[in-house]
Amino acid sequence: MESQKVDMFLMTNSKFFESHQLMGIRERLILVDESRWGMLQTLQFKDPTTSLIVSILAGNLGIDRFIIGDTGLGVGKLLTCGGLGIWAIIDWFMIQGATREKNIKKLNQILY
Amino acid sequence: MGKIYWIAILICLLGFLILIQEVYNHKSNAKNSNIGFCIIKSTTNFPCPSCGSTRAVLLLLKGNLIDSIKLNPVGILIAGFLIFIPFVIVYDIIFGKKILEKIYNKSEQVLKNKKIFIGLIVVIIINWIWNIKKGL
Repeated sequence: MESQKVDMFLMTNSKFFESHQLMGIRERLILVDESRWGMLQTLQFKDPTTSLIVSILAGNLGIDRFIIGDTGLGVGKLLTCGGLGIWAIIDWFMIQGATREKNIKKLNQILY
Repeated sequence: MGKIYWIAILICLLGFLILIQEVYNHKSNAKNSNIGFCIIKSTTNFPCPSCGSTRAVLLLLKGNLIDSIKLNPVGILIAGFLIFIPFVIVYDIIFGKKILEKIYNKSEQVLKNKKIFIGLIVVIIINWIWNIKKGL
């Protein structure tokens, strides 16, 4: 893929990934065939900031975990009152990383 | 070891700690202690879907099954998990297998089915409304 397109993709989507993953993504995208560009454009990523806000407001009900697609963990959090309150607090700090992990998994599904 | 194991160990440890503390409190004074770790209850004064589950587990420990279900049916679920999960974790660590992870993945696949998921959420919400009516 053209490096210009790759840089454009990275510029608009860099907040959805961990910073240390960006170089790897760039190298991989340059190697990938041009035909994937359309699929890449239609990918919908989850915003880490949104999940952080949801986690602070409704983390005890596990809604943040439901949003990023961890349904099993979400139900666990819901039934244990946010992991007895402690897990909910831990997730205030973990949820952004978890969201970015989900995003990179989604991207990898298309790239590999 | 995967992330699931750490979360399961954390939850089990916290659960047992709180249970031991509650049992100890119960023995030392008859007052109904409420440690209030639930953020929802302490901020909004409404019970959350699983409020009262500690008391339900305590009632179960006394063998009072019917009262426990009347207080909060989630208590039985939590007690079952607290008994079941530590054995699975110890088994997985000793024999190097991944049973807990398999159970988790399987349950997540089942929950991907929209009908089952919505049904579960409806049941939890009904239980929540019941909780609010009981005024836990």
